[in-house]
Amino acid sequence: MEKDLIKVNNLSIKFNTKLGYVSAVDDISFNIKEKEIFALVGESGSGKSTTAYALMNLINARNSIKKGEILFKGKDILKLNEREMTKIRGKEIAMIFQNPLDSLNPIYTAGSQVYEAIALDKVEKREAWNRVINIFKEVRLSDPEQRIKSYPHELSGGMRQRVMIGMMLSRRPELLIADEPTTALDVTIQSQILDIIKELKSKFNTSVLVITHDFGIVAEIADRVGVMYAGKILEIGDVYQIFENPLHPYTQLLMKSLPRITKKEGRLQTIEGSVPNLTDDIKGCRFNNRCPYSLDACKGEDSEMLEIEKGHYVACHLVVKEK
Amino acid sequence: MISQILREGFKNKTFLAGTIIILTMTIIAALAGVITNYSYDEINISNALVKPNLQHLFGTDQLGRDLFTRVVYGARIALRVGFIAVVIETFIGVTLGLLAGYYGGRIEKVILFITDLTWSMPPIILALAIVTMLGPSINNVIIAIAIVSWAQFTRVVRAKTQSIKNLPYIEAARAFGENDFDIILRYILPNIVPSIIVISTLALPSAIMATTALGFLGLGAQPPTPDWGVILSEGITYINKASWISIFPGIAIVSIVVGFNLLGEGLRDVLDPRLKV
Amino acid sequence: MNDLLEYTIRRLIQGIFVVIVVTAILFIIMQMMPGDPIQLISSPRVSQEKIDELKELWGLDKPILVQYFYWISNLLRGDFGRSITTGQKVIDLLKSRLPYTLMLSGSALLINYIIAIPLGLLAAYKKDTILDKVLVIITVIFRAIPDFWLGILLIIIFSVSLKLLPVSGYSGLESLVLPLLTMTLPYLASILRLTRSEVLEVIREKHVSTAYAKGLKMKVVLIKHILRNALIPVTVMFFLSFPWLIGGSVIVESIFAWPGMGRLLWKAISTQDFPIVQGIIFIIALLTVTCNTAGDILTAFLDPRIRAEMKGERT
Repeated sequence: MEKDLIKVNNLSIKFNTKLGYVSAVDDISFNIKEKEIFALVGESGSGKSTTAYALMNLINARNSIKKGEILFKGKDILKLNEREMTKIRGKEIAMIFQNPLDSLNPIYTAGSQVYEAIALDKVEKREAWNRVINIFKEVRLSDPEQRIKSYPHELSGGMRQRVMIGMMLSRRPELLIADEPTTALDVTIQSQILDIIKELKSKFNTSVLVITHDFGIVAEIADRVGVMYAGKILEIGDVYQIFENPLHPYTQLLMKSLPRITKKEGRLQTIEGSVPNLTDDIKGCRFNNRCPYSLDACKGEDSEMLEIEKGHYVACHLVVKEK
Repeated sequence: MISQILREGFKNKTFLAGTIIILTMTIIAALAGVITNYSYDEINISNALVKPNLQHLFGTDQLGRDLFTRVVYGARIALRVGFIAVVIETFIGVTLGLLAGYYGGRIEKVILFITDLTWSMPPIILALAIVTMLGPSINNVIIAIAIVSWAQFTRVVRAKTQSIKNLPYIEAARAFGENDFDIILRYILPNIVPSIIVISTLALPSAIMATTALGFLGLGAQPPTPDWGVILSEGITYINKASWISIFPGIAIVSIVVGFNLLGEGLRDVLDPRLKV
Repeated sequence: MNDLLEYTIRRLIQGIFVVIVVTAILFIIMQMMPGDPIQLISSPRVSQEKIDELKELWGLDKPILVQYFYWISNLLRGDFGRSITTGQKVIDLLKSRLPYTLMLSGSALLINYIIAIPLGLLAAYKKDTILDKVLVIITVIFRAIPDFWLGILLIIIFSVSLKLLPVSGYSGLESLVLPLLTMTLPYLASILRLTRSEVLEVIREKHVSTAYAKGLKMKVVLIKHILRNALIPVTVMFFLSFPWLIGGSVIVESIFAWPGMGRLLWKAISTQDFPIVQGIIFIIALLTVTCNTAGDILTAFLDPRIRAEMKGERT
């Protein structure tokens, strides 16, 4: 059994907006083990990106309230000050972002931005540049000696994302957070990027947290999955459990809406209704208003996470009742 | 669009504050004859340089004229000159912007070069040069302001036209045989109107400031016209004895400029939040 | 760097072309002005022969393009003719006046940026706090005060009421204070506004999160990734605003009887002294085009995207 690298306990994040407090993440718990790829799946606005930013402690303290704890190798990240956090970012936890179009600074060359990261570890100049070139090779950028001199606007989206991955892995972090790493890219480029992440992950023994809305990516890359909806984690399990035996009605509906080549199911099924307004105080299960199997109990207390089979957790009154 | 302005505008504090200021000043200007019993050019030497009091709210000037009356009539001049100048510059700027954006190519190059030319002189110097050429008068001031300021419209309108002209429905209109004139007027222009309204509103305070500045330099309206700039330039001689002459017209300028700025920024929030002016 | 060199050359050629067109327009305007130069110096008693001789001497019998060439080469050599009212050489007048204007506008420019950039950064960083709101309100007010009235107000406050500073003229450094304040405050407000909005825009960009995520210290992110990007347009404004300040000196110098070029221009316009007007406008046009060109080249130097755009335009 692998050890936990990161353990999130009862994390809640509220933002103070003009419309009142928005509860973006509500009392979620999950863990990421060493050397595994954990995926958080959900629609946009489900709180998965907010969770990722919280892991980096990159959420503006002024207009937000954070509760719970994020234990990284036993230390609570939320209790660290900016200076201590700076030592962890990039070195122990790194992050790549959704849109490689503007995730690199347009006025510096790609190479110098990677160099900037490596130089943080007091590496001598020539050695650091050698490492930049090596990293460019590792993320399979052709002609790395030339590429390091390119500005971001001279690179394609896929190339920029490779630079990002290289930059973030250059300091050999233990955890890489990938926030929608392929969303803005062409389909053919997507799988190349996923391959690079997988390959470098095993090479450097990095754990990866993938944030995505795309079950295809989950299937391709993840070891374990957490399904998020409206700020809550509804179900956690390993990738086989989730795909073969989805327990939560929301997960089941998501599975049905997946386009499958093997089955001739006709049109895609969409889930009726809409995500509840997160500014309201929500009682009970947040999926209740869209759930086809809604029970009276669902409108009352929120269901606890229960371990149904080994490592497979779900928060649903229906499942409890059936059991 | 008007209902949108009314609906969202009155939730917007900036817009509301601007509207109140401008409405008040417009009403005062319109009712100048009712508000005050004095005439703005009636000389009464025995009553010169009287401090502000109940008979003369803003005091009197060196010729014994009631300063309040002169400032109130000055609002008429400021608003009129500002509006006419902005209408002219909007017309020139929007027309050239539409042509440049729609046709591109050589027409666009020539138009852009002309806009570059107007920016190759500081606005005040260009306005001074034009007034020197045409002679000092309020009409020439209007012409000078229009020539100096049209280019900002061209820049925005050109960019917007370029982004609209390749939209599918414009292509469709073209396929149905609509001519360029109709396409520009009926399909493109309506989409740009909100931005034009915002820029025009924000161009008004600059036009008013320019008018008063030229008046102050003695190159715009001529005495005894109660132009705020003219009053201020007369007042500077008496700045030691009668500082009120130098204060009240300035407050009037600042209020009208703040009013239009707030109104314009409020309109931008409602109509075209991403517009950069 | 090759891109940059190419861009610089192209931009310089463009600048020279603009100068030619602007001066050509100025030349045509001067031709249309009342007062043929011959008539201006001659009386009816001068013989036609003498007039023809003068016309030939000054090239007035040549085609207009040749005349323009003579005219511009004279201007470039600093020969702006003589003042109609005083008969002094215009170039001598300019030589004695220009330093005062440059002293005033130059120091206003420097003070503006030294104060406005840190304040703008502070306002952006403390966004929505009381400090930010106060700074924003101050900039809104100063943007609405015309410079000539600001000058008058300062005179009322500091010279008339407090009797601290001289009203006008030049009598040492304390005479510089009020004109300088008049020139500084409105521009300072607009540079502060620009810095604030640019910083706020850059802070929202993803690459700032990237900079934090790779482990850079807050100070490094602030200087290398936020400020460095946000200051590109601000730096360009530095160049663009210099000609505007010189233009504004007409008003400020008139109020404070400052013995500079702006006041000279104002007086020349009032007395219809066209050779002086022509000389000053020529100098300001040259200065403006130079500053605009320098500003553009600097942007291209600081921002690789601009260089790429120029390349794209050509192909």
